Amino acid sequence: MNSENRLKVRIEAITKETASIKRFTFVGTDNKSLPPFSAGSHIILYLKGRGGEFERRYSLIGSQDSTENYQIAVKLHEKSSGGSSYLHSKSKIGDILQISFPKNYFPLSFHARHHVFLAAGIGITPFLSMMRELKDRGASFELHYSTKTKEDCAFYSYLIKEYSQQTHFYFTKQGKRIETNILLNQHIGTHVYLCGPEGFTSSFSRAATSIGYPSASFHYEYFSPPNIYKPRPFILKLTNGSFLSVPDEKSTLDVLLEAGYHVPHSCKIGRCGTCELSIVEGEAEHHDSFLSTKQKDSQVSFLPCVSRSKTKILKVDHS
Amino acid sequence: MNGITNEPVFQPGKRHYVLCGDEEGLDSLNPIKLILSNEKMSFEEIHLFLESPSEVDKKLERQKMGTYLYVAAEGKMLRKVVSTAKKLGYSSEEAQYIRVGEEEKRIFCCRCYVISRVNNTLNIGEHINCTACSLKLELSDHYSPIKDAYLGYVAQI
Repeated sequence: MNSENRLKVRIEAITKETASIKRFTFVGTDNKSLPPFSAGSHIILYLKGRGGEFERRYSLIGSQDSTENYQIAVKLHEKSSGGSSYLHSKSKIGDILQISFPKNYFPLSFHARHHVFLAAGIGITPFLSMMRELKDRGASFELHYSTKTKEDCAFYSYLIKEYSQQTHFYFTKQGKRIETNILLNQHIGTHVYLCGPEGFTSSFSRAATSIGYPSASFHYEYFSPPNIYKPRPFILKLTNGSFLSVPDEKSTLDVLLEAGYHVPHSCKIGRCGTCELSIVEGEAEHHDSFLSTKQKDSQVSFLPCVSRSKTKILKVDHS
Repeated sequence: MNGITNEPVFQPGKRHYVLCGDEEGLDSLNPIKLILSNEKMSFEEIHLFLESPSEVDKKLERQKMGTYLYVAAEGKMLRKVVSTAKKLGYSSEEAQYIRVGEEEKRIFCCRCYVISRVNNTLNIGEHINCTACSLKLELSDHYSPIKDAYLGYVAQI
């Protein structure tokens, strides 16, 4: 992404929500309003690390009606690869950060008659703006929120105050586990939204499939590219005759960008389809959640931000 | 009508099925009923010719996620049930609509926006006069699922 497509913000406040979760409030550096956003949107933070710049995605949790500031909540991960440990330990009020414009790959369904939010841990964040919008609209929704303990539960008091009728808490260390049978009694017209660790989302996803939920009624939020088990290196051949080596530790998109090729891109997590390239020869190993199963099987195109190659050489239409 | 087929196709993987139709429509759903009976799958029938519209609406509304709906009926009745089902949130992955018998074509006048009903034998490119404003219209292949009609272009100024 070009730096001119970024916004500069100043950290205005840092609030401790739980022992491991902090809420950050950003304001524009020029005292101008920030761009409005829709419920479920996130921003990318561009942070500096030892290996250069890196990106982290965080849901906007503040009110989408207010463009005076943006708010995000960040959990300090034990195995942080830089983002959460930087924000928790190094950042301070007054720091200037670069962020993207708000993006939304997790919008509310316009067709839903009822919305069910399933959150685990810091996965609550995208639902805060979504529930606010639904409450304003007078729409029907419920939240099921699982954390280890009440003390680990971010926004507990806020949720009790604003959504006491709709919210169900599950504190696993106190013996109350969230169960997939929540999905069993939902009426037709329900849309389900999931945000949490992979084990949490995959267990609900399996349950939904076995009950017969259509895929279009099930929505996920991802904040990082999928974990690819043993990625293999391959050669990317372009229609201009160039060959590029894609090593196991780099994405196909990064290799193209580093080599100076212009590839439009946005999400970098296989959700938006902006970077789609046509396949000329070879077979792609698809890891995105944008193309349909039929499109993936057809091997007509692939998304270089997350997808790789099944064949030693993958020829794509790019010059 | 968009999403409307002439023959039902069995959709596996659902936990409950609803077969809804007029007399002729339910007959056309017999192949599906046979599969469901043989497989001992959960299903129920809604008889559009015996039940009041409010009863039909209630039965459609109380269904749970994982239900698959078949609606088979003549055009006017079918459109009514499709409209209710869509309002209730049945998606294209949760319902199949089967038209029974001949159906009139509906053509949307590009000038006065009134929908005229025309004989089913009228083909794309052929002309009719709008029943409201009398503008000569050409039947296009541009179908609107919202209007449930084909757009009628100006055929003569």
